[in-house]
Amino acid sequence: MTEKTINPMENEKLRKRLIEKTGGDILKCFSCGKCAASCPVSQFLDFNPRRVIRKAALGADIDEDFWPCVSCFTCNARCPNGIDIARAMNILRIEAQKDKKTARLPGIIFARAFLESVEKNGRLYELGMLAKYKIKSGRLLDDVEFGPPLMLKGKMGLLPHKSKNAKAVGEIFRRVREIDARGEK
Amino acid sequence: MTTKGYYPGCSARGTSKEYEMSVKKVYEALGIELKEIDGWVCCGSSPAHVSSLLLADALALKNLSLSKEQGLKELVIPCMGCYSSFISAKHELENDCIRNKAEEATGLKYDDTARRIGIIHPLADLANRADEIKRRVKNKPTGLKAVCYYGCVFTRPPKVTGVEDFEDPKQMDSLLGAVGIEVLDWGSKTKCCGAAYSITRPDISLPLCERILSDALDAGADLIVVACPLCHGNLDMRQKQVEKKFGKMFGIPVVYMTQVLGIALGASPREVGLDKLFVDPIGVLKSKGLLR
Repeated sequence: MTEKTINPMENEKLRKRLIEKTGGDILKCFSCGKCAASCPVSQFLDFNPRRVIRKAALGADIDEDFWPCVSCFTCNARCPNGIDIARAMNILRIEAQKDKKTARLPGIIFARAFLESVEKNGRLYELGMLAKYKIKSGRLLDDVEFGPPLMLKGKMGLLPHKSKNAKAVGEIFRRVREIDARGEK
Repeated sequence: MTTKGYYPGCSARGTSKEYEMSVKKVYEALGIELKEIDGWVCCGSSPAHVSSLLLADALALKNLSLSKEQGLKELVIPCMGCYSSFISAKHELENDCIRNKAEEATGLKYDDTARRIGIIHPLADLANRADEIKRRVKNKPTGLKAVCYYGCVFTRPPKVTGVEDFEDPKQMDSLLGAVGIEVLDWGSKTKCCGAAYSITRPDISLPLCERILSDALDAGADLIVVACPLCHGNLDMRQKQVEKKFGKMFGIPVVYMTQVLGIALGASPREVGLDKLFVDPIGVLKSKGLLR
């Protein structure tokens, strides 16, 4: 699966949602391209924030790969119209996850493993999260060279550091899901 | 001894242990005790932002409420990712609709006391104390050249951070200058290292790191000084990966600002966790007189 094939659904609905959730921001884009010129990733990958924002604002098919955005906020800082472009990218990425195929993207596998760990422990359990990420993404051998030195240097705990508010965090996650689902209707 | 509230963040108990150790040492040398929020919870980090527009704000509200209950009026947050989560959440919680949802999700009120809790990054805080730090210096290097790497979210987005010179920040420059480090001008001060993409998209993060490391070397730096656990992991721990992928040798030590400040203020290398780094800085710090 190429990441580029992920198409957000129902363009008009998506357009309205993007306009609402960016506080009308994306309509301010006059396509000057400062974001793309500033983007550190655009310099070596086919990722172009200007095209993404433009297509989203027009309600066109977003046949663009918006996953490479690293949320560095360089575009946000330089946009002459002050558009929160990084947030718009996140909104698109949240929307795109309605397509189940996105569950196979490494970034999504990572985000879910991370948040499952936090939901359970109230804090991130780094080792547990990485193990889960590796198994689910199949990238078992990536970065294994760091395991032994991290352990030796005392920088990777074997056991989770649970927050005493872990239960409350689990409850917050549950309610956030409810409220987010309500917003979809 | 004065006291400030403190939010360590998850990585302080793991991969960025030496950052926490050195932050505490520096504040201790300045007579400030850092009081950890009892029962703090994760800020949600970048995974929260690709999952829900509400989650990070709700988690911040939980932490701010705990701080309020414990009488903490300001929070020192060394992890740049956590710091960014908190200031973004505070910015968003000013929006009535978002605040109502966050209050509903947590069952907590974002009242004036919670709103007034100051969110402080040690970089800005210590830069404000540069004169005091200068007076307390015990070990001064000679000819130690460093580049300051600020990364992304200390300055950006400026609407949220309030940093005016976001293209060319100077806080770390003045801070390191205060302890006698020669700070070099370079073009990668605020470039992005790719953060957690080093795990999921090394095809994106490794080229970004290569640029930063090459720029530091071209500038003639002995050290890259950072203030963020993610920047640190990418440039220090992964430096060998970058070298392998690009067929270049860097061998440039990457240290947390509080590690060099701590040493300058009299802490031992072990007390600031210099032994926990991947690229060993001891040799260069000794040859330039910061370590004896």
